[in-house]
Amino acid sequence: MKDLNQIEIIVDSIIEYLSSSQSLDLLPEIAKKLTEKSWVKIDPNLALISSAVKLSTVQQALVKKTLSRHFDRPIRLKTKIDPAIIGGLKINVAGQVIDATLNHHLESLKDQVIYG
Amino acid sequence: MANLHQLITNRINQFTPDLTARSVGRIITLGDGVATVSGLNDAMMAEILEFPQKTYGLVLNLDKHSAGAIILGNSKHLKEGDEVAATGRILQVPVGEELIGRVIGPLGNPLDGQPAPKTSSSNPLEKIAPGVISRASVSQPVQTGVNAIDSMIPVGRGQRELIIGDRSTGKSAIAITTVINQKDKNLICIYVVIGQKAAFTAQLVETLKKYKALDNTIIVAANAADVPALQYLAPYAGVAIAEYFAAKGKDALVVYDDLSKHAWAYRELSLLLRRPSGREAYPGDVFYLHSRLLERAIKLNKDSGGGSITALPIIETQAGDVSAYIPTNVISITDGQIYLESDLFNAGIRPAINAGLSVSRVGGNAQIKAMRQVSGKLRMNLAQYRELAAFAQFSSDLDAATKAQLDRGARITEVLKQGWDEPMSVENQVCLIWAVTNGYLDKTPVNKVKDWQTAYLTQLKSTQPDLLKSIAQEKILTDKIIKVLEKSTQRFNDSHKDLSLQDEVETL
Repeated sequence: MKDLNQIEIIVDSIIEYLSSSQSLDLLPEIAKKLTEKSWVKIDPNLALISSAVKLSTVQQALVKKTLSRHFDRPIRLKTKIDPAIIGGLKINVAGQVIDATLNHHLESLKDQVIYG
Repeated sequence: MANLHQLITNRINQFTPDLTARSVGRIITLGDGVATVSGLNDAMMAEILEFPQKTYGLVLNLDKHSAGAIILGNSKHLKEGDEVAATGRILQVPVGEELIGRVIGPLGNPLDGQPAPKTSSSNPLEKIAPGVISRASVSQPVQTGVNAIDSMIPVGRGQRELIIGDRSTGKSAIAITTVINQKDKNLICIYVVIGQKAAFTAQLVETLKKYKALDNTIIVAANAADVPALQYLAPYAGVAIAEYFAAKGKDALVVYDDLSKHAWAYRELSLLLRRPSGREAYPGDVFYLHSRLLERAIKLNKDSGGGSITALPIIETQAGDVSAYIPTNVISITDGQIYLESDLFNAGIRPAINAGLSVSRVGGNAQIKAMRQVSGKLRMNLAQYRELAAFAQFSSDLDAATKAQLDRGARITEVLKQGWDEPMSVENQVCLIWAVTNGYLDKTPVNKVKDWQTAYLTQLKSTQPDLLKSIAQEKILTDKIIKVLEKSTQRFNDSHKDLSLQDEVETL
């Protein structure tokens, strides 16, 4: 939720800025450019780690080592605390997601029980 | 209750947490069973995507920043922003002997209220058709049981023969007769229902059950109420199942009922996927849609097991217009067509086959010799009749030869009339066509031709069983067989004066 709020704030400030400089008509072009930039700027070696609590240095080192071995390249970490997570980690490396959170396990278990 | 408890316990026990790295994206837009998904950087064409609640989708468009997918099933629970994962798998359908006698959906799900068939293997829905190396020419017949088809427009195993005509001209009826006639003929039938009323499928199942033809038939159904994605996939599922049998050296027959609705479903999907539209709003690859499907019909050579897949696609025309887009496409892909006409149907000529416009390009080689011996004369007699019939309408004073030809033609037309539920064995067809083309029915009044036929075939069956057996086995009319036929047919005519002489009313 925190992420979404942040996005809203950034978008609102951009619109406010464009509105004050009377150049709101540039908005679609800016949006297009931002989309293109976002695709180029995806770092294949950066892992975004979401967890319920802050990871200790030892845990971070362990995750980094394991991920580097798994993806066969040196991986850097960027950690984030997500209060919505009950436990476990969610790792996103350039669109490749390893969801090891309890939330995901429970969701999958629910699907398994309902749909077989 | 105990069962439910057991079921839930089993499902929980089966659960193993998935910790593999998956390519995950999100739904950007969603509507009418089509979703645009962002973030799937390494999605493949025709890959299966997993949506929430075990719903699956199929990638059909790969754009620069997103992938377009069709959702296979209900999409009401999905919403924008939902997570979508790539699975790395392509679409497959379960195949095996266990499917015989069952009604399944295009993804292998049972539709007949019975448990899912326990198959051990599966085949990909999309597959490039085998090349020239593994193919052989068509050499064995498919006995459709329809006199007009088996004699004049023969279909061979491995052939693609189109059934084309307006609505309610008996297109499906011909396919159903063919399926009914395959009992004990080593031909596994796969009837693919595309975009038809669910009542049609239910009726088809009942009909096939009634004639005990469901024991060698598989029905793959995507009814009108199913999403277009399933209607689009149904024929590919049908041929994938047929490929399993062909690979085992068996013969399979696939009926696609019908490909017009298949093209409509594909047009719908393509427009929703925002692909550029062409003639009649069909997408540019609508030809490839059907050509890649029908190219999978095959007669394999001996080294490849000798199996075959025969295709009977059905196309519905609008007001007899065969030059519309989809009909011309499919006509050009197939090895011939059976053309059905409303006028003939309404005139009581059923099956309403227009013998002049119907052709079979390769089936002649597959016809048994006995049938070839009698059908040449039949075709000639019928052609002469059609030519003269047009003139005869204007003149009342006809010479004897012309009148004889007209009379012969009328009787042949009568003999070729047949109920959809009365497929005829090949030996009976040969005897009947031999009799009519050799003038044994010339004196029979037209309205008694059917009675003559029934009585004649009954008598042949009871008095000459060996003759029928030898035609079926030797597949040729030897001089000896012809002599016996002449003798017994003459004897039949002599003993059935009421059927072989003109009534007084007729002669007036």
